[in-house]
Amino acid sequence: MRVEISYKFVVGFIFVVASVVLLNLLVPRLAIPEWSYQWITIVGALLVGLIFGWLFSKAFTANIKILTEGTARVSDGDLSRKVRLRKGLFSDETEDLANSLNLVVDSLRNLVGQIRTSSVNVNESSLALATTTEEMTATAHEVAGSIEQISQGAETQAEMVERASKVIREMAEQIDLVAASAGNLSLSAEETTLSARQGEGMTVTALENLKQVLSQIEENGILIMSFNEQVQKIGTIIDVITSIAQKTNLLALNATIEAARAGEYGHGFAVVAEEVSKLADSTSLSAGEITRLIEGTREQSLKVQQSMAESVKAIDAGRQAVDITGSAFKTIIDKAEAAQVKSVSIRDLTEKQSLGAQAIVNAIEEIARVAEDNAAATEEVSAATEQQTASMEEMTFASQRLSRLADELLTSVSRFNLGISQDKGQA
Amino acid sequence: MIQLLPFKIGFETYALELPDIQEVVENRPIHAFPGAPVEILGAIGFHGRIVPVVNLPRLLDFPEGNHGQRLIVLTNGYGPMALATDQVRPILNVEMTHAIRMGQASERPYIKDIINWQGETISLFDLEQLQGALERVCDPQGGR
Repeated sequence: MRVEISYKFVVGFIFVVASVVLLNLLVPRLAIPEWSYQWITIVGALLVGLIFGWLFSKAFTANIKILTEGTARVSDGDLSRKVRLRKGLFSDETEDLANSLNLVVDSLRNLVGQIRTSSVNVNESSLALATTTEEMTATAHEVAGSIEQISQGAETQAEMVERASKVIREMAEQIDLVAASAGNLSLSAEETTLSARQGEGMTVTALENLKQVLSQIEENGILIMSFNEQVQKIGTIIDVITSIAQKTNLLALNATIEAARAGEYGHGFAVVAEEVSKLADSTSLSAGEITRLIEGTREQSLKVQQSMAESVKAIDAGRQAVDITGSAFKTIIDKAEAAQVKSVSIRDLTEKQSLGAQAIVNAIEEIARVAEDNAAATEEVSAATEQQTASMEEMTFASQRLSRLADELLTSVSRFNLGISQDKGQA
Repeated sequence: MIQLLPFKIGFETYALELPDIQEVVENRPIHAFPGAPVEILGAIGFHGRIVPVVNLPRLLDFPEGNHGQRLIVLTNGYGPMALATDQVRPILNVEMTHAIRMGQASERPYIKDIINWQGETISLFDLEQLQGALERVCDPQGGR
């Protein structure tokens, strides 16, 4: 039952007053002198007052002592125990105070527990953050290095793109030259075709001329054969003349012999015979000369015949050569026409190539612009990365400071005793 | 001064005196005698007579070849007889002061004289020796 302290004092006063009254009633009934009645009453009242006062004050001071000890423990940081008052019959405001103090202790314990947990977490997180920021710093450094490389690469890229652009331009010029050459080639192939056609016509003419020459040589051969026959006839006649001359000579010889046998009478006959012999000798010589001439003529005509045969062979070979030349011209015409077609297609292709090369030049220029933009962007990224690195380093310092603060906070809250089970649970 | 008819057998030049010669003939068909010695080529018909032909190259020990195209028919004093030669040349009028007379014991028994005529050596035939030799050839027993 709850009784407030003021009521308790009132009740005590009432008990004292009641005890005085009761003693005043009881004492006369005792076998004691009268004069002592007053004294006994006073003493009795005093005793009752003392007892009640001792009991009340003891009850009050005990609770206040418990409360004082509880607050002292709280102030010492011991939040492990609650304030527990002795159970009395009549509770009062001290119990409210104890309950409030316990609530404070609970709140403090929760708060400290939370602070400890949070500071541990903060410490761990700040350590992790520091580690992470260090890693991030390192990564940022690596990124900066990579960015540097990228920047250098971008510069190299720009340089290479410039070179590529130059090469492509040169290639485009060369392609133009090739296109022009292909055009010239086409014209040359056309001219070659025309020339080959003329050559083919000329070979036909040459073949006809060769045929004419051959027929003339054949006619000449027949003429020479006829001439040889005539010469042969002359030779036969000369043989007859030679034979006649020899016979004449023999006759003259025999006439001379006969004249010698006739002595002086045969002298004139011998002279005639000698003249006849001389004539026969002269005839013989002339016939021999003619024979030699005929032989020479025959040899010459044989040579002419051989030469003509060789000429015929040569002309045959020439005809074959002209035939081959004609077929070669046909082949040349075919090839030249094919070359013309191919050169035209080459010209078309090279024109397309030229357009393609121009497109490549444009693309390379676009690439060059992009590369320059990339280089600029890379420089910006590099600057941003440096700033980021600085921020990361600051963040590292900040997290380290935060870790130290968390440590300090943990140290600060470590003087609070929250009880073993709670400590273990929070650890 | 004598008149000579030079003729050639091989590369040698021989000669006969003109009075010993009847006629020179050529390309006459020569008919061979059966069983005749090799020194006798055969016989020709000459103005209705049969005249034997002496193989002079064979008799003078010339190698076998195309000899005897021209035949010199001798006068009746040594005939009737014809000598086969290779070639007959025109008649020469020769001074005998150019001649060198050969003896009987010469190595060439049918040569009577050797005449040096204008740088050429001409052997003058001894027809009597030739006739004797032919008789020996044709009658080896010597008339026995």
